[in-house]
Amino acid sequence: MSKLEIDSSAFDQVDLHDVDVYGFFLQRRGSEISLILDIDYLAEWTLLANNHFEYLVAPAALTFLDVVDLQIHLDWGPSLRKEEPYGVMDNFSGEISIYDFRRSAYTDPIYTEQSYLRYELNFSVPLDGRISLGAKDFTIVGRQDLIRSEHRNLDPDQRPPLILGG
Amino acid sequence: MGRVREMISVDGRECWTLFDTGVRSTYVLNVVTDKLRSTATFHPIRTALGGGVKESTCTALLQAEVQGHPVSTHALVVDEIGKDEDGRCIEVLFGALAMRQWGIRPVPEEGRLDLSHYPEQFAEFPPAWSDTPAGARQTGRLEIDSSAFDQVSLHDVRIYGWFQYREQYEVNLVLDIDYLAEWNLLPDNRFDFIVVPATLTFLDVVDLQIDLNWGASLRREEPSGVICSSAGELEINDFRRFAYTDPVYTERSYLHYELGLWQPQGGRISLGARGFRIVGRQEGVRSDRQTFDPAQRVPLNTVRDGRSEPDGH
Repeated sequence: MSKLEIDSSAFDQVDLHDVDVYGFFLQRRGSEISLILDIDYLAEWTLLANNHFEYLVAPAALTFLDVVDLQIHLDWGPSLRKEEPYGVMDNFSGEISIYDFRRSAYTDPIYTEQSYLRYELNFSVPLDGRISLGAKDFTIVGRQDLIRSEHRNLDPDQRPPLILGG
Repeated sequence: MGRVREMISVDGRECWTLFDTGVRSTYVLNVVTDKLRSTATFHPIRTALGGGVKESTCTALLQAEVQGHPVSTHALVVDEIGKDEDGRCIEVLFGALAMRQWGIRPVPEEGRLDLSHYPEQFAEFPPAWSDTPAGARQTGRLEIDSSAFDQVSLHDVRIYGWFQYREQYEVNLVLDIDYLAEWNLLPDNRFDFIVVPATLTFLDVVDLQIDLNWGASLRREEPSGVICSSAGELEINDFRRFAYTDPVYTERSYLHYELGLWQPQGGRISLGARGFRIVGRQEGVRSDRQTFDPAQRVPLNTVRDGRSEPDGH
């Protein structure tokens, strides 16, 4: 399988629906800051004859370059609650799953003159979670070859670690 | 930043005091120190305070009562602190380090102080590396757990990122930070620090909320056309811990933790957890900066550093 590498010129071909996010990192290079998301990218969904999906998945870094106007709002709400009368507990899943990924143009010349576009990630888990930002570009780079799987995400112990800094 | 004004009692004298988390040290007017034991400094200490530079040649041991709670702290003696919004002369400026020590938290929206974390006794949990001479501390390994919460200050600590790590039924939240293991006030009134790239891990996390908003980063300051870009820096203002009241949490030993950020201003990370741990990833270094050289930081590893028990334990 081929190595995953996408940049923002292919935005129309990028689908982040149901993509899991494992971590968020901010990396400064000179006067610019990048936002890096550790994800399992789903390069392909295939509907099988038994009505199940099969995926082509790769652990990857989604990097927004030269970030401005960053807003992150993620709220899982009360994770533990007693569902009466059974007293069932609901554990915190820690899952972060993207619902959709949108891009729009700024109207203010201060952004357009510097080639910024506005990006928005909406999340299904946590419900109504949202990250919005301006960036000059983004890249999605796989950390290993794409693999075919019946699961949308990889076993955390089998994912090659994302190593930042240094 | 939190600011609250209140009267405190110093040797029976009522003193108008500003509690300000935006100021690190504590200052007292020379007229208040008449009854305090004061000591001349080796060098004049200059401080940018209240829009001007104040010079003090004297320090004092401030012993006072805040809402009936005895506190004591080292204070710099100055001729003038300034006036509050009502034009009233401030006699004592109570800084963040002393507030941290005495569990005092300003609640500006209610105009009051919260002393619910006032320590009735000090339980000292010095990390293994702190009982060695200052020079040798640079070679020790940083390891702190939640039993030493009262000794942990995360004020001004930089966060570089975070990730969630699932272990069976539990999720850990892992933050990559530069921990400030020591602050030293130098004679020239600057600080130096022992900075340690470290991993702050909250164990078995529930109720996670992350709310960060840097606002509009680019703005044109007319007429000069200056552009300001400030998105992406994360710095902690305070680190607080509370007990839950709901038995569903207390029966399972969860405590509520809150990281208030001053960058982005008003940013907040709150969660429940059964504990936390701060582990250095390399030796700390003494520095006049609060952040480690990015090129020298041992990188965070999203698998190895996520585990409840780090390698080597």
